[in-house]
Amino acid sequence: MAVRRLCLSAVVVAVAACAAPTPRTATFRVRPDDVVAGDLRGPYTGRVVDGANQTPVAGALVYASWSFTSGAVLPVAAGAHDEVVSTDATGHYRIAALATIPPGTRLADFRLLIYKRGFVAYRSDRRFADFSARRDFAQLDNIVELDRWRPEDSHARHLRFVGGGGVVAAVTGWETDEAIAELTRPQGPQVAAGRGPALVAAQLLTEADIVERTKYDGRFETGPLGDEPDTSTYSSQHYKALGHEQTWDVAVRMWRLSPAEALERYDELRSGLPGVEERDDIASKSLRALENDINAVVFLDGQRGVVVVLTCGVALCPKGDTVSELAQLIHGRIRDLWPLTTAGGTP
Amino acid sequence: MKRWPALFLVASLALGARPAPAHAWETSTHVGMAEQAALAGGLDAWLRALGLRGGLFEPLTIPPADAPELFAALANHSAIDGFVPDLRGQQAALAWLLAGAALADANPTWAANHFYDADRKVGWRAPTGLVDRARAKVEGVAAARAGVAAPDWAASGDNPLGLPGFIDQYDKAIRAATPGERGRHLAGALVAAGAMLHVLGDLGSPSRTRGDSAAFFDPLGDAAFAGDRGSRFERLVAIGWGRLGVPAAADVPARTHFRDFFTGAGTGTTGGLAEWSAHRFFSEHTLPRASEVGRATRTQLPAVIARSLVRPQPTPPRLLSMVVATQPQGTTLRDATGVCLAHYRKDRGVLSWWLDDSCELDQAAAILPVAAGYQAALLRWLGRGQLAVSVVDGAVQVRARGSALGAGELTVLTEDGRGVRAAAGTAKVTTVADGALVGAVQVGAGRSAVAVFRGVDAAGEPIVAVGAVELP
Repeated sequence: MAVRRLCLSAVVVAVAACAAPTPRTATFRVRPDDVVAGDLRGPYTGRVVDGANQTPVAGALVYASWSFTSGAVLPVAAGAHDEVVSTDATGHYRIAALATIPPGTRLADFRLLIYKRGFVAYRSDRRFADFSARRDFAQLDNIVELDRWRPEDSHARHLRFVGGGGVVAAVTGWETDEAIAELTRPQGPQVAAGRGPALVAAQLLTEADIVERTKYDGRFETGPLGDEPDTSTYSSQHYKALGHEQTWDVAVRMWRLSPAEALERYDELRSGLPGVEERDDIASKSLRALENDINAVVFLDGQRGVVVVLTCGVALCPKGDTVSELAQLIHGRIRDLWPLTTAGGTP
Repeated sequence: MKRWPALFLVASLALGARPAPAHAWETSTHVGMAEQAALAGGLDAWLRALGLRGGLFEPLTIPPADAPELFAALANHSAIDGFVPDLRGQQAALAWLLAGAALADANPTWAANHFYDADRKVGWRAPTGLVDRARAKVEGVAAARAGVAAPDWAASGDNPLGLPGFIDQYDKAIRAATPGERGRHLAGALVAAGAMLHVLGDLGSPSRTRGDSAAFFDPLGDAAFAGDRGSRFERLVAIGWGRLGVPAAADVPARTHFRDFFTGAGTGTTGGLAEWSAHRFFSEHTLPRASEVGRATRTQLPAVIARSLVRPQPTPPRLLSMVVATQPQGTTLRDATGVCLAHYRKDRGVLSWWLDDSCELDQAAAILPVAAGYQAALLRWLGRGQLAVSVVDGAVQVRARGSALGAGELTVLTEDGRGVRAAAGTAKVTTVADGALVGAVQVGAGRSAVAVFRGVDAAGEPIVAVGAVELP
């Protein structure tokens, strides 16, 4: 009897050992409001929004990576499977479940990276601010709030954060020069001079503002313009009309400079833009311009050293007056966000 | 009942259990420590001194066709880990260092060479207990029986990612004719450097320096028989810190000899990392044995505890708090800095010891900066060789800079406008004091002159020293 029991035990052990290795338990939840552990295999879904205004971030790179291990007495890396998608117009992403686990390997980990120029990248396992463990990632219905890139953020640190590989390198390549420059500077990244409160273009105009004045009934994809990243002196916001030509788009570009530099910048724009009509009806100075079916209003706030260029396609803003109204609104927001003392300095 | 082991062995034969390596800190931990070591060890300045303006972020390329085994090993890792090159084989210099840190145990036969018992002066020895061996066989957890001691392995010519391999690649990274070749060899040197950091960093894990091979057979996953076994401590660290969360490196003093980073007598961090971790911490299977203390008097207690020690250090205080130890949850033994060493409890006259996750995480928080500090110091040691190069009366004069040099060979190369280097002359060197003339070579036209010395330093340790000067 004892021998039979022992034989049975051995068979049980043998069968258990023959079975495919069990995936490890996920260290994240299945949903944000659940306490059940997720399934490493997936699928994964979520929505990416701009942390500054909760608007969806479309076109963000979503890089999903499953890691496999094999062997025991601690695992050895045995491969990885990557999937790359991008967020849709509403900021949503969906990653299909892992179809197969390579024979003889164990599914050990899953990580997600989300990258969009102009924002701090998001990782499912770590936070950029202090590299601490992220606890709020969920397999399904995950909410990702991307923080806007700030001038004081470090590209060298950011490159370490996002990792490597061909796909990631292709979208982060522009940061390498910035990172190299940072390391050669004596004290890391240059920080804004600290004149006035922090301002970014996304604070100055909302989708609702545009809809109210243009009666547009569609939706926008929002985010920084792709031409230059936000810096201590420059910030941009693009309102891209979904399913329409560029003539339906709106864009805000804002420079924060010393008063003298701001005047110089304004003069450059005045002399460089086509079809300029000086109006001086907004802030210290302003003008209208028109090029290739794009209406533009440029204004200078000399006291604050702010220059704003607002562009709106003629399909959305057939009249220059609409653009001027939006520009007036933007200047009002700047004054609200940056009130001046009587001496002209910061409060 | 004596047939149990035999049955397990029969079952294992049917399963065709295959050897699997005994591994190190998990990859993410190694890569994170190497990254911190690079930041603290001046790798950016070292690379810039070599003329790489991008420093840590200088792109370096190893064509995949030149190193298929390397790329096959890298393909086992996710690009999100930060050390997988693109399809052309290009990535930043820092990433190549991290690749080395990840790949040091890519070859299963190397992994057993990342142990060093600080008291017995030997490397990995597989558990000898019959039950352990039988269990391991059944679960496909067979490990190498013995390994080369880590300090020997790191310096061995048999280790392609050891010190000789590094010296060879670093030398070629200076001497090779074209920028592409030099970049390829520099990437290779960084991979070797990263692998040496890995071997050194492993000695920060107490089970590796206390002969605790049984710690690597503990279950990791939920399924007891799924073969997911290894060091719980190292798994905990990987989950807790990952790559990015590894803390900054502590300040660890420089060493004269390569081996001294790994092993050597000393107090605090003046000794080897193996001694530091072995004598400061317990590991899961080298805790003091349970001991009968119920009848021991206050004066007898220290002797009873001393007899229960598996290793002479760390030494618990002479008088443990037996009153609080009788609480159901026991109490905690901490070192002078407040780091948890173990929990202990007295129950029915028996004093027993254990480690839980919180205690091990506390230890890891103390270990990681120090291990990375040793690695940073090793990285500085690898890049210590410098030469002062000047042009005097049309001849390139080369002087030792920062340290004395021993026997070796000096080569002066000229570099043209395309970055192509050619040897202009060589000189045999015996012994040169710091600041003294190593040699002088007449050179022809060129954009710059580069001097490289390969030999040994004043302590007899292998060194490649480099310097350059713009030609008039």
